[in-house]
Amino acid sequence: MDALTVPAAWRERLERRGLAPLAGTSRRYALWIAFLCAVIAVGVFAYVRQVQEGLIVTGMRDRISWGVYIASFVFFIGISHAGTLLSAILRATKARWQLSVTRMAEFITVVALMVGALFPLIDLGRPDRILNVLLYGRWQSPLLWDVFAISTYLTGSTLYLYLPLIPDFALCRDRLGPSAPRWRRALFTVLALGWRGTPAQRRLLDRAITVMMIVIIPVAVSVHTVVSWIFAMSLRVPFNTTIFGPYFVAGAIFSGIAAIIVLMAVLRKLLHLEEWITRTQFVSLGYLMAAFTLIMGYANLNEYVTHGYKMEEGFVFHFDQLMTGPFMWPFWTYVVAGIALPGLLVLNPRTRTIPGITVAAVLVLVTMWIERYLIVVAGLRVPVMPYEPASYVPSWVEVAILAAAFALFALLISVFAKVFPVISVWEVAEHRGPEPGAPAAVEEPLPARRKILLGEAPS
Amino acid sequence: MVIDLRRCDGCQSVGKPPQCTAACIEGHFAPAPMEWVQVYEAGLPGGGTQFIPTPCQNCQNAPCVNVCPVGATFHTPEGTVLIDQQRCIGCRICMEACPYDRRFFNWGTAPQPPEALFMDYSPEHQSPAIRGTVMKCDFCPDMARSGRLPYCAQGCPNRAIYYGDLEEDVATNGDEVVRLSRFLSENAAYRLKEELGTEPRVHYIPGHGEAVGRSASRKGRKPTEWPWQERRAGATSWTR
Amino acid sequence: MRRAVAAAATLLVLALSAPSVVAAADPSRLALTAPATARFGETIGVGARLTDGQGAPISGARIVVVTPMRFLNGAGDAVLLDGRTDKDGSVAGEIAIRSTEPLALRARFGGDTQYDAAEAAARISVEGEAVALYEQHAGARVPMLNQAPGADGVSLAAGAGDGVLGRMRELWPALSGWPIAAALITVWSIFAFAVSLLFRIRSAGALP
Repeated sequence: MDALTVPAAWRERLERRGLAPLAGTSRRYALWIAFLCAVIAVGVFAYVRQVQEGLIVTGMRDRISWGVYIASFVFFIGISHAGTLLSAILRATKARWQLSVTRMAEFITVVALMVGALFPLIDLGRPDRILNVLLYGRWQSPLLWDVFAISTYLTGSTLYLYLPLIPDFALCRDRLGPSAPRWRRALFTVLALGWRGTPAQRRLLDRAITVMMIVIIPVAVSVHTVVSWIFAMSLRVPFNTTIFGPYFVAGAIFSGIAAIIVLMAVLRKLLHLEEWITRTQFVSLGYLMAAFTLIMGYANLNEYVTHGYKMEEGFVFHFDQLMTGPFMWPFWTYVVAGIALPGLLVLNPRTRTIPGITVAAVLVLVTMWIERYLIVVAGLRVPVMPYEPASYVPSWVEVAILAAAFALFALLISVFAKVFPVISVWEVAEHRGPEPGAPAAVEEPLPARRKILLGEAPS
Repeated sequence: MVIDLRRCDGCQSVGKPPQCTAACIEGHFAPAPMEWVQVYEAGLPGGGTQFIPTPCQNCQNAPCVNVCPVGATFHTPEGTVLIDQQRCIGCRICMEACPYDRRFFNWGTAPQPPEALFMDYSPEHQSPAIRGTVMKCDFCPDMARSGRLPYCAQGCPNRAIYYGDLEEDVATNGDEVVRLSRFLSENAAYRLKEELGTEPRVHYIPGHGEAVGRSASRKGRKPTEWPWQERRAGATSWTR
Repeated sequence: MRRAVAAAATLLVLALSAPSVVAAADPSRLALTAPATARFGETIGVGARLTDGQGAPISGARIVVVTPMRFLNGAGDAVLLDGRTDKDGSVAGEIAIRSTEPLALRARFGGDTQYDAAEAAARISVEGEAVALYEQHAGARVPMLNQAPGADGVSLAAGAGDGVLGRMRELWPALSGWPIAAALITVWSIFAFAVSLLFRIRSAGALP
């Protein structure tokens, strides 16, 4: 790939902006971290109660034996597909507009996988016996497939996050001011792997990125397919369907797009990245999201029409509870606010703005969690024997742990954004160049204490 | 196991909770609210109800055994499906997989009588109950070894429950002995949710207690009781 | 329909067991034909023929063939055959040999208004070793790759078996899941290749 010729001042601005968050913290950031830690602490307390008392402190019981935990597991594994889509699928198709947000998308992938993988562990009745999965693991079990797939995906996406970071680590290493702490310099030196940008190194890095880009796509598809199989391998009426694999993968990419749009909007504002993340990125991702509303709607139509036409025994109950029964509100919220409204917001030229698309993405994120909740809880509620349908209300423990998981997600993203450049500086500089419709560059002076770290350009 | 529904009246005639469930709870110290053999009341096509005592179906193609990630649920060489509560990690995927609602989780410290605590644990009788693990009907292999019928079959006042051996093709309810294959065919026995392909080892002979004089229109049974709700220190019970 | 049959059968049993009030009934003779020996696991044909004192066949009479059986604390006569004689006076049926114990058969005609009751017995000795006849077919199976979980008892390791796959399984029982293992090995070796490229990047950056 030939490097673009870009204006030197532009590149300098990009490097400064890209590295600025690394150069210091504000009081606001410290408060934010403290707030997240407090939420996590409440969640940890709730989990300690759960370990002490057993799962009786949750709202789950024999008949609805999975609840918020497994729904959130599916949700977080779903949004982890953001990175794969943006950096792998779009990179493979040689799209260039997404280069300024690939790094964020890869953060989401790694962090969402870390948080998502915690949920099955939290859900265990005997977390002390977790090693049994290694000692007595049976490959025939869908849960083992999850263990294999998620550990593979986490390893692969961590590697894939790291590869394009190498030249940026070198940049950090070279641009660190003389007063930067010694550990930071040592860290960047180690992580930069002696990167000097020689043609041989570029060739090797390009090759590594290409290999990982290709292998990560089937791994990502397999991950969400086997996540759906913990349901689809069951004989329960709403789960016993072939559409679950593709449907879960589509839902995963759908919520992944929404997650990256939200994160992009937040970081763009907080880190002043308006020059590199413009309406182009929002509209392109918005169109993708709109396309996925159609795919999701199509998958739902397929599922509900093929079963609803025949009205097998359990489905009569399932339909009633979703459409007119106890799950009526969440279900119609999902249909209206999760499928119809986001699509309309993106397709209507008047709302096809950065705020409009961000609102659509928030709607999608919220309703996709609801959708996962409906799959798990409404699915398990369908009686399999002649008994009165059970009810499930999450307890404070589950709510606290869920809140802690979101806080952990935000915390890890916040820390990542402080430690690593949130924009793939070298890729934007070399393969994208200035954004076509970027706002006029305003050279904001960096706060004084940040100048210490980003002293001067390397000679 | 063969359950002759013609003879099951949900223990309406003795005016007690279902005695199969009661005997099972007594024998296994099954914690509340677990009814390992549960008597469901299901509607009949022409109105009225029938009672269906439902133990673990001991499926040959057992969904729970297939999905267990650690092999804590397994087939014994005789084919019985047991749970090793000392290996179970409590993921509850088996409860999601079981299409008969026959698995029970120890959500908290289960109420059990003190004598349960003195038993040596074995997957064959599952006492004492271990918090955070799954339990279910175990087909009483320890009872069979000592030449006795399972608790439920012993407890049934109408001798509706036959227990047998598919290998020797024989079954008994304690009173009479039948040739299993012939008994099933002659009485047009069926299995629950046959269409799922789970191949249960529990067979039902259709009926609604008519052989013991129950009218299908007489609905309702006495609720199951657990004699030791609060007899274990720190125990909590819950609802299903 | 079934209930009607059952009711009729109940009435019939009652009628059969009721003491005969007819003083002079004709004698009847029952003959039970069964092979003297049978192999374990085999299904044999058994027949009974009911005739009157003159040797003429009696049709429409109910014949029950039973054998004494015992299981746990239950014992008694288990019905093996239950049928009505045809116009030739015969009933026939099949019996599966499921035990190595000699099989004692007893056929019985309960008598009716015209004929006296009659009985016949036969004894079948069983040859051959007892092997497991009942085969459970359980579990998620991939043909030729793995056995049903727990088919070999509490141990959940798949059986070894012959051939290359079998030897592989001896090395690592979980290899019976080799489709998954193969996918994992492929993906992880690609990861390893990418990591090896990292080392080459490092050495390519070394200053001469």
